[in-house]
Amino acid sequence: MKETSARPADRIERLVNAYADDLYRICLFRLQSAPDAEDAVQDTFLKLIEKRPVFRSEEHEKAWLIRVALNVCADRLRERTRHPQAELSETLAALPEDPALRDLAEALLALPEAYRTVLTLHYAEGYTTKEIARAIGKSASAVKMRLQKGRDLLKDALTKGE
Amino acid sequence: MNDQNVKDALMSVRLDEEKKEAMKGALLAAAPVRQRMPVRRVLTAAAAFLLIIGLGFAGYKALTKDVTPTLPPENTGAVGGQVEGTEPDKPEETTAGTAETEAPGTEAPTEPSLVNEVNQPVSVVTEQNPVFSGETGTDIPTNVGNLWNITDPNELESIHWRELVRGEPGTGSGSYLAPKAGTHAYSTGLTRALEQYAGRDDVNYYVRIDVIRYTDPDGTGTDCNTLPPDESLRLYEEIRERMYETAALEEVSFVIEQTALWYVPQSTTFGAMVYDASFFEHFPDLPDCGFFVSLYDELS
Repeated sequence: MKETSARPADRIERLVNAYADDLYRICLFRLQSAPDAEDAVQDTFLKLIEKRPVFRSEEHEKAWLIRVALNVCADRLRERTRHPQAELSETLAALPEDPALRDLAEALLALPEAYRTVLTLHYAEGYTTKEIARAIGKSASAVKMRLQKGRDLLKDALTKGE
Repeated sequence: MNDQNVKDALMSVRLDEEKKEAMKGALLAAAPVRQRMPVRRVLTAAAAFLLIIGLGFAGYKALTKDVTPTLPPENTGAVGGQVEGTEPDKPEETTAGTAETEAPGTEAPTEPSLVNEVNQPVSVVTEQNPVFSGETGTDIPTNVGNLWNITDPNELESIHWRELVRGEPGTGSGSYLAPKAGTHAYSTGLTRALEQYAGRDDVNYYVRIDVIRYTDPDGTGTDCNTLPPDESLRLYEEIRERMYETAALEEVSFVIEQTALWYVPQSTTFGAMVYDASFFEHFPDLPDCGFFVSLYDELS
């Protein structure tokens, strides 16, 4: 999939329109911070613009972006030890307004990181356990377990909230 | 709660349209700057171009001489002919001589930067060391230091390399490279170390890249991933690009060799010892992998 002829503006337009939401979602639930997630998405796109990798298909491109986004998020999580975290209110503002969906999103956001990421990739991106395993560097069985436990934790959290 | 609820909750999280527009503007502003070719690379490319032209011309000249016999001086009266005492050049000598005399300080174009197509690089690699034959997993190193396994260990001992930076798996510190998509293709630690060498040609140093699997001790696996070979190559390219930008050297030579170790000490030249990801196919039971990049210099 070559895009050498596309003008930078057109390319950026396409990239942001096609992937910004997906990446933002992944980063938000990984980082638990809306401002950090926005920065991470931008950094991810910058890496793509800078490196200009050649992709076989749009799926390949998306997979690359997701993996880079996860790495960028990992960097930011490490930086957290040195920098203060953003206000939680900013993050909550990014969640859906519908009360039922919001409760679920909040519960998801409160899960441990290991579960948040696999649940996001599975439900939002439709990734299979194998694809998630490849993206986060864990075995498929470990991902399966995390998915299962993540669902259970989510259910528990929602039940307690009722 | 059902699966559809979870999906709906997630999918309803979107980046604000205004922020998307702002992001597009920021990306557009950043793109040209980030894509600008470093001056050194421009110069290197120009030197390579001139050298190619020079070699081509020399080759053409040699071939022309080969088919046009030079008359003896007595027959020409030595007018407008060759300088007395010189002999007609043989084609091979002309070519070789040109390569040697035109290249000082600009050897980069004549040497292979990537040695994938031929397993015998011309002059960069001084020794090939197929360290891990892949027959067993018993010689898997537990740290990068143990990767030294050159044919003649005394050679290494006599060099006294000093390790300048070293990656720590899982911490993101030093020169550790997380292989996931190559976003950690370089680190600040490595970059800072490379900067020490900017413009210097009085010290031998090299960078070694070890692709090595390691066991993820705390089970988080956040820094480690499996790396398909095509991505491995792309990552090496990324590292190479970064070194061009950072090191301000005449040349950055990388040698990429499948399942083999190349030992490349050379003055003012970056060498690399690279294990390709395919190396790990021999060790399927190992869980994860990582990159270690270490920069060494030679103690004087």
